[in-house]
Amino acid sequence: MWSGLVADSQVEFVLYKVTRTQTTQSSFGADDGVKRASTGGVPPLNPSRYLNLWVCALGDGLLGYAQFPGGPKSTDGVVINYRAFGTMGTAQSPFKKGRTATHEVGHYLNLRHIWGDTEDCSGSDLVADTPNSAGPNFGKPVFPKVSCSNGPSGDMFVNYMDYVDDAAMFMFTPQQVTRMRTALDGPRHTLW
Amino acid sequence: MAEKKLSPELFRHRWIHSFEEDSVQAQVYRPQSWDFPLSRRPREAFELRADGTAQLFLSGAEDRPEATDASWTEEEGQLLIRAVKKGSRGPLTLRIIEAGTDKLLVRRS
Repeated sequence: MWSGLVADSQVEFVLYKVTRTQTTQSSFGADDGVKRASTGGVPPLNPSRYLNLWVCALGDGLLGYAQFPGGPKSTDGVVINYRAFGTMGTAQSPFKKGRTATHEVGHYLNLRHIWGDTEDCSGSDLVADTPNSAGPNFGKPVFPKVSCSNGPSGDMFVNYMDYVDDAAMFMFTPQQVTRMRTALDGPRHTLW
Repeated sequence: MAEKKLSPELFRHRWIHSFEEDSVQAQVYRPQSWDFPLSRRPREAFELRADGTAQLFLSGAEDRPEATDASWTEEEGQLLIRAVKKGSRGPLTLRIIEAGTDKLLVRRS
């Protein structure tokens, strides 16, 4: 249905360094505690030059969270639950295909959720080639999920910026790629 | 109708939405110490203070809950939390219809 709207971002990161920090915290919240030494975490390494990716235990079952471009340097990067990171080891189904990192790095490169973060049809993800959607989708939805008069195809729940399981999300659109590349040419230009 | 006493447990915890346990009738909230399963959907939560104020933690655009100031009142033995969610057309209300030591049943409107 959306095969003509699948776009390769051609954005790749090269691993610079893995650092390991011992902590007495059994888990972290979404309050950036993992990014501060005073709360058992570790500050980012030169966030103007590197995408910092914290992997840690997160409370309340949270998979991860991000920071949009333009936020404080001291907290810039993405945080991912070790149970939802990568494709092996501690990664757990249905979040063991690495899609949490894809989703969070999407935010880091200025992408919004495809439903526009409102509980009705008024929100926008600021790109025109994702259908307007009323809210997030979960699990592995059955096609079509129609909302906001977006039939017959309905919500693009297979998009990386929805809330479905890893196995159910597999695409960005051309305008999402344009938005990411604009971030890389603008506020994220010091990364490359 | 005689007023029922509010459970002190309500004020001891941050209460987290355990949406996997929701029914058609009510949402289920559990204390933060609960062992919640993984969820891409950030769990909404609230904290109550004795002075009538509260904080709601609602899903944010960066996948983490965002704090929103709220207030609570007691009506016929049930506790009502009211807040205005950013970007929402109307006020958000959570009515706690049943309170146990580690489980709350909540109606959201």
